[in-house]
Amino acid sequence: MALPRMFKTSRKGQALLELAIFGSLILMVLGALINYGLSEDFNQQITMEAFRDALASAAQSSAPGQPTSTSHLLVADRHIPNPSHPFAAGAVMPVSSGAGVTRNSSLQVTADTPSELPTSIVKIGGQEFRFTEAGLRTEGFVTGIMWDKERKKWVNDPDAVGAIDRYEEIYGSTNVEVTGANAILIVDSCDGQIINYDACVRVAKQLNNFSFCNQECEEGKAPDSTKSCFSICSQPIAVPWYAQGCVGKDNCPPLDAVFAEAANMGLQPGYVKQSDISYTMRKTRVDSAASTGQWVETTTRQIRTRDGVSPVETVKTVPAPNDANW
Amino acid sequence: MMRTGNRAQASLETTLAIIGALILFFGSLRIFVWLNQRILARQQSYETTRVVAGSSVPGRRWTEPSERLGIFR
Repeated sequence: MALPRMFKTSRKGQALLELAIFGSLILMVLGALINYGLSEDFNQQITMEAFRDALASAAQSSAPGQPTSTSHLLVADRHIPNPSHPFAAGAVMPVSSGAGVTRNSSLQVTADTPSELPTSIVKIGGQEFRFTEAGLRTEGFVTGIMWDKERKKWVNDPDAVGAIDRYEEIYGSTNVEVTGANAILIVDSCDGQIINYDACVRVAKQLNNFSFCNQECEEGKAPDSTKSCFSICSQPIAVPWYAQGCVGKDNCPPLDAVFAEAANMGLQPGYVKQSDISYTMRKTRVDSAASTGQWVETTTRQIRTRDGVSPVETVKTVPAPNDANW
Repeated sequence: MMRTGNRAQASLETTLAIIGALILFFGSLRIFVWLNQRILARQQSYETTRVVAGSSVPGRRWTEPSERLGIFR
């Protein structure tokens, strides 16, 4: 039986119709492939760069005047062309990676000068920002130290319990150094530009509260240790600014004031992006390619430290697709 | 005469469709290969910078020895 004329006509262009349908699907897959591939590519690049930066810092950590430990955070705004976008300009997406390397030979090195303090480096779009993760504190009237004749320096007296033992208990023995007949140097992780609220409240509680100090000391004591936590935590020591009147979490006035506006210091997770798109069609044609527009994206981030808030503005210009430097 | 015309048109359209499909397929394949090559090239660059970064001195940024790949720039 002969088909009606309508069906005969509709068969015309069937292959082209199929290409239109399946071609668009293939194009969609192609776009997803480019998008995924490029984002993986940028992520791999920044991860490797962060690790190499950290390795270089670790290699330099034993040199005088260099930070004893460094953590790196790299952030970059990368442009990923998007085929679903009318002009294929696509979005500017942030990629980030953090890394830190510690070398064995540097584990026992204590910072003696401000430039040797543990440092946090934040690199945003090539701009580098350095912040200390600890501060140097000098305390006097230290008991429990002795003169070592062989090494010709003041050291912690193993036979006597004094203030030095309590400082070492709280800050760690590698962060406390005897510098004179009655002076010690403390690398205080709560006195840097970037500090951690929970960790500092814990330190403050150990400084203020005998029971808490004793409990922490007993929990951390090795099974065969003969040290007396009771004696150590009974030693009178100086109370720094962050521990003044600090009772515990959410009841620690100096630290609550510092962390009033944000829970964490360093680079804040939120950011503001402003996009300016200029779609001026050009009349000139370069290499037979159509010209579209230019995309300028300004990203404003915040780095919060004890010194205040530093806004960091990075501008990413995405030129028109047929510009030579695209 | 009509039958011959239809067949010719179908062949022509199929040819055009196949050409388009092949361009898309090989285009995708080319991008896939390009992305893979970049991953390999970066890995090579990453390996060559290990010693350079690990023995770097203060004040000088580690760089890729050959500057050929330029992956980290």
